[in-house]
Amino acid sequence: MKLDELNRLAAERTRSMWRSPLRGPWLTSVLGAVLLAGLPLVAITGLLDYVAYGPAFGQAFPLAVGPFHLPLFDWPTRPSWLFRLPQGLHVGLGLVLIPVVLAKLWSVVPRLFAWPPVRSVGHAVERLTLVPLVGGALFEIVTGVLNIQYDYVFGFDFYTAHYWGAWVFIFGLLAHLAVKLPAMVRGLRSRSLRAELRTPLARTRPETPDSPDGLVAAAPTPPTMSRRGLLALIGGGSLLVAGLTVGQTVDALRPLAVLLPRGRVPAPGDFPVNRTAVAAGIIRADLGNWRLTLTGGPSPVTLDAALAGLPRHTAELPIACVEGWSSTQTWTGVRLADLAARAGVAAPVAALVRSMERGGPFSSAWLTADQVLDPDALLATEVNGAPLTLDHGFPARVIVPALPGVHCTKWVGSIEFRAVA
Amino acid sequence: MITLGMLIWFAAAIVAHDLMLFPLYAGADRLLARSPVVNYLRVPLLASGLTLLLFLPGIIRQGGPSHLAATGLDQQPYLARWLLLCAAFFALSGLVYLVRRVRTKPSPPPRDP
Repeated sequence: MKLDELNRLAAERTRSMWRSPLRGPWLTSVLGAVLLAGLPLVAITGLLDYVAYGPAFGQAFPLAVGPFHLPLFDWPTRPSWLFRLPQGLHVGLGLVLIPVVLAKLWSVVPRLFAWPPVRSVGHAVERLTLVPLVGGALFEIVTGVLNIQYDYVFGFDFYTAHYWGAWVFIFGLLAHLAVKLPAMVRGLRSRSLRAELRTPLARTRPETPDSPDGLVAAAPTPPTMSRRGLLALIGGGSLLVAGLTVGQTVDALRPLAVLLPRGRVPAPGDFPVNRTAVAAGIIRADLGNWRLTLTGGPSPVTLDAALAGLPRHTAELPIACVEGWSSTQTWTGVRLADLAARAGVAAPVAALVRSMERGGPFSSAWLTADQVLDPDALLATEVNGAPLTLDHGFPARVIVPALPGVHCTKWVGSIEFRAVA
Repeated sequence: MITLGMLIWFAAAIVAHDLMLFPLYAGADRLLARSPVVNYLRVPLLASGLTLLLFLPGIIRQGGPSHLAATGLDQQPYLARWLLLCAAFFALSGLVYLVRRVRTKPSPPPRDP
């Protein structure tokens, strides 16, 4: 037999492996359109979180990203949900889209095994764009899903991997769009969504056969599910994930997140912590003689637990973690602006808050002038009318509107105010 | 710094679906497709599989020390909760099946001529 003949047989063999009567360019295009609407939002909110961490202070990870970042700006303090929203969207939408990503992969799986694997230079380029696209998307999903459950089985630095993985995915997506956008538009136009939603199983037929290595099965089995049924199944999967995730960010629905760490709180009526006192090496016995040191003025100022009788202020503010959980609480303490004035720095341009915890990447955090001077920016000593518990940062912690939770330093020992940059 | 481990995980991510997950669920589905109640098994199975896939670390208790350090909680409850959730998926599916069976009245048996 000639090589041509062998190739033709192999192509026929591989095509006949695929039996689903629902695969086709229309279905793939619908799933592609949903992902095209959603995944860029996941990517952008992730990159925004990087800006919120304050790369200007060298406290966003990874440290060196060259030109690969959004335009940098001082992260504002208003509205107070400005960090909560993007991080909640990043993690929440990222999880909700997983069933759609899996469905999209299922819908195009015959292409992976199509014979011959490469037909032309253009075809080879198209194949190659799938490496950063599929690899990037799945790598981001896997590392992200593991990170929000504190499973560091991968052994490498999460921030570095997840950040660069995002850029690989972004370039993969752009290349894929350049090659495939016309095919998606054609696919969407090939059938009417409205008509599909009215078509029951009894009238479900395969899509019109497309090009030789196409998605439509050569010898499809009879359908066991209508096309609208399949879309409902995928959407239902997304809804299920949404239902199991929303409790991470909505306090009233927290018990719904039964399988996520942030669906649980340490004690009834409590709210989540990002690090326990035990993990931070904080021991209550060491805090009996707590002093707060304020530096940056003419001479250092030391305050005891009475905080020099500075006016006390109460604010209802969210605390939001980049891992996708958040919670709104009522905080009481003294204003950071009053502490700056007390230190002798009336117009600070920045402040460095240091925790008493032992080491760790987030044992200190820089705040911008806005973050120090916001009227709701507090060194809190109470939450919901009771003194802070040890895990929540007793004797004092920072809470600032729209500040990433990990920068709301707990167990504060000193604050250094800067009068000049 | 980008490490070899990251590259290995990246490469694994590309083949994870197509060469591992896909053969698994497609094979299971081919067996199911022979059943007259295929969708009443398919849907709860997929829901169980999806939740297992997403929440695997808690269910198999992987990463306990970092989970404890971050939250102050152990991973004890997840496995039982997931099993209950799966039971609920199948129970709900069975209920829908029964309701539909009852509502579509069986046609009268053909009479002998």
